[in-house]
Amino acid sequence: MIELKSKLADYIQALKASGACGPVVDWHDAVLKEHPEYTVEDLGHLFTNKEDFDDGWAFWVFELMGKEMAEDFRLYTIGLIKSPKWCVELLQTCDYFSEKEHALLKAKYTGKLPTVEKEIWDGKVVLQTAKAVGVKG
Amino acid sequence: MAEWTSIHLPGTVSDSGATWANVNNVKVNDTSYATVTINKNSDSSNLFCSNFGFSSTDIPVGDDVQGVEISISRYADDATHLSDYQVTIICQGGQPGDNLASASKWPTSIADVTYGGQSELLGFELSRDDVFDSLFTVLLKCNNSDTVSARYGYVDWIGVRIYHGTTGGGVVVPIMLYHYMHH
Repeated sequence: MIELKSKLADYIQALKASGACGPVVDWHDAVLKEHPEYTVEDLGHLFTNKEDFDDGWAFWVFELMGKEMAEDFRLYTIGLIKSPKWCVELLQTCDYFSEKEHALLKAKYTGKLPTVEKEIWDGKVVLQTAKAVGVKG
Repeated sequence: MAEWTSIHLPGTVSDSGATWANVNNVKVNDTSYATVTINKNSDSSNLFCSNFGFSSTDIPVGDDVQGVEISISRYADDATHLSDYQVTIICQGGQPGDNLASASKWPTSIADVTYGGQSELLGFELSRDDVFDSLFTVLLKCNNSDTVSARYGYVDWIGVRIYHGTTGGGVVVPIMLYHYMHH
């Protein structure tokens, strides 16, 4: 499992194993070459210090390797998401979120997307069910 | 009781970035499309539609604006990745209103969808002047949840209908009846 304190090199290995595309791996390899001491958390800071940081990254990393992410990494990533719509996309797509993670994501869109909330209430849009424990599965 | 206008199409359409093309096609219901190209796991830029041309002919003096309905005719190149990110209005050049985006994916054949309606004011207290203003704007932004490929969306037209009427008229009759019954 990849934690926030995991080495960047291990994270890149996990990305490769999960099928990340060449340009993405190349970019991470370049960061590793420049900062061999980096952890996953350092990489997170590198992302969030960018003015054009895109919530879509969180969706990408969860869909690619969410099941390989430890709870602290997953909670950190959820904390980076500002867009209510990406939270809904995650809950529609990912079937491994714990009840805690599910609740955090739900809190980010509740009261902000009235059409979506009605669609969920009516059953027109279906979210994945939270797992009792946020582990592989 | 509310009345409603016909659907008005925008006289002005613009793109805040570079993801939309042929934006003026949104002005006409004719199966010519504005197209949006969205990179993998990304959002589009904003499509702004304004200058809807509402006037006193549509909403008479004395009527209040009671609801806003936005209609969008659109489709996508696949059925599972492209959806709304933001559907709202902007008044007087200010902040966007409530986000009426749907979580449903765009269909792969052209279809109309409506947002809001008879009592939806998107968090604003809208006046006739707000709606008549050429800056009264519909904002559409969409997102691509495909983590592998760029996706494409197509918009034929975007329209607005306004629900309007007088408020308080329904209270008068019950009060008159009350007095009649007690004198």
